[in-house]
Amino acid sequence: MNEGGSGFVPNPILSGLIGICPLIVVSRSLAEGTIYGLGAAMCALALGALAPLVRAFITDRLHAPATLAFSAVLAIAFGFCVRIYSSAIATGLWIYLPLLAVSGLSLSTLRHGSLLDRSAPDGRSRFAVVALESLMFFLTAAFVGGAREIIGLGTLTLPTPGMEPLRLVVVNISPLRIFVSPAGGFIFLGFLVAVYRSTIRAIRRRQL
Amino acid sequence: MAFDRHLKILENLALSSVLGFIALLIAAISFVVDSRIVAEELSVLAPSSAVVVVASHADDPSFDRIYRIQTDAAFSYASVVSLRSSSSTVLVGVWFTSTGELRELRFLGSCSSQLPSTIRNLIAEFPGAETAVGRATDLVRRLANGTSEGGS
Repeated sequence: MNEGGSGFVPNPILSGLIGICPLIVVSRSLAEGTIYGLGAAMCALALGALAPLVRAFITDRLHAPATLAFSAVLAIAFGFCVRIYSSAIATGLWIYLPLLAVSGLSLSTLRHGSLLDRSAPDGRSRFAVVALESLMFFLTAAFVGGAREIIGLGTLTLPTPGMEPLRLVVVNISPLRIFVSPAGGFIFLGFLVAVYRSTIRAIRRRQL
Repeated sequence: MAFDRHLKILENLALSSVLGFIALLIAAISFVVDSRIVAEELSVLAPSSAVVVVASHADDPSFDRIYRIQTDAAFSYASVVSLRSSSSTVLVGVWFTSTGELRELRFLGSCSSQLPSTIRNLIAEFPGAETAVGRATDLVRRLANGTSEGGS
């Protein structure tokens, strides 16, 4: 666990697990998925930018608690913004807004920030790795939310401000409502992983 | 050795001070955010001519405040209640009479649920809805009783 001499360095598998569960529970619609993904990405980017500064001013002993505290501040600030922007979306995201402080992406960024080496093993800067992870997480959250909503409810809710976000009715029935429940979310994730793996396998076969 | 210990104590104090300052800052911002949310809720719950006060701050996961709405002739109570199920969350406006009886429920918004055709459908879809609305009703009844007792 302790890779860089800091008090707490999150394990990447722990980060992944902690990241996936809230993502699946909370991404029930395009609006929720987009706002949750945006929050996680923005918190991670701010943490990634701040981590080297924190390291310069704060001793290693206090680096992890200080970064975690800053992560909590970012999550609370983002929660305030969402509550002002749209109370419907904030109500939907509920407890998962403050939990952005310990989202998988934040923990992953914390892990990158805790390492003494500023470059990843492949030579890229750690901030570039965080930025790419953030972008991919945001796109995944928006896609998962939108796809689940279309399949489950036949609608597409846009992340517009106000108490009632704009809703586009794609089909006027709810084909598979289970997909907007957490159980359906994990089923959807299973399909997504299967498609991803088979695509990677097909690409490798072509390369051979 | 003693110097190291003092240095560590100083470091801890410095970090605690910074975190305390940030906590105060967040508390100050939360007042501003709350006032914006109250304004948004009131724009839905009460006509602009009404005199509205926050009758109670509720410690409930489903609703934050009960408003007392004074119009020309009478007064009533209202609140915004969030109803949650495992697959969706909706915001519902709830209006009560001055005696604390439930008068009206109105769907206000949601971002993960289809629009319910009727409130009956809404209640059927959210098994906990009656509980949340019931808790709000209980609180309003207590407020109404308190008001009448105070007035008499």
